[in-house]
Amino acid sequence: MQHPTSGEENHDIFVFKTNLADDHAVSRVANVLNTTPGIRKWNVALDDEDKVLRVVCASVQEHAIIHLVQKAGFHCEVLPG
Amino acid sequence: MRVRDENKICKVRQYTVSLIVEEGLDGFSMNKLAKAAGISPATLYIYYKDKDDLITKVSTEIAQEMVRESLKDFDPDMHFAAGLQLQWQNRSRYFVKYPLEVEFIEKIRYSNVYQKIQPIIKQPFKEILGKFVKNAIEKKELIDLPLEVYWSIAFAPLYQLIKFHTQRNPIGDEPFQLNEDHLKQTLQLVLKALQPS
Repeated sequence: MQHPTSGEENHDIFVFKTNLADDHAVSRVANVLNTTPGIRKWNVALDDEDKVLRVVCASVQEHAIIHLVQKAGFHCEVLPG
Repeated sequence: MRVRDENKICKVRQYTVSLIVEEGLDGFSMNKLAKAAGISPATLYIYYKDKDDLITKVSTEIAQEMVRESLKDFDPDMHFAAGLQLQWQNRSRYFVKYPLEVEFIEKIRYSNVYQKIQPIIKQPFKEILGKFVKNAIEKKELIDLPLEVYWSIAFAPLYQLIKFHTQRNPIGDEPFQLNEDHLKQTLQLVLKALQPS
């Protein structure tokens, strides 16, 4: 079977529960996430009740991402594994 | 670095297929899948970007297997009768062995995911079976027909038999069990219709 996350093997992947409710909210965090060095890719599953933010990154700490999203005015916590 | 857990990925595929077959695409969610498969949603989201990504990857894998099984040992230079027989065998084997996967593909056929997997299914068939049909017509082993007419005669009887088998809802009174004899009998009639007299 192909690797489900091919191309992401050497990166960290963090997933968070947020209150990013719509595209407008997403565009507000986009500004910070897109300009943070080390964040390679990210997306928000708006169809999920936990509005899951998924971040693929290198050398960025989990708590730093939480801090960025909170600073943009949203709730963000680690999605429990 | 993350270690890939084959067991979990296998379960994800199995439950994605069975949940979508049971409840359709609209009823499917990452949380439902996580619960059914006994995996945390966080783990699912580490493996897959989101629901669409997951369904696309599972569908792609199934489509690739379906094509591989359908074309197993097949060669476009085969004699028409032998080639069609092999395709009937390959397809019936796959459909009877993996009814859930077949139903899953049917469920996603009218969704936007299907757009992404359609080339995986269409391309090899078009290439290999197109060549097979062209060869057979040139060798005068097959009458020259529009592709859709050819396909309808060549495969619709097979798919109807498989349907009777898997749906267990036959037109007769007894449950229908598709066997080699049924396949042989039907294929002979199909060949009679498609080969020049």
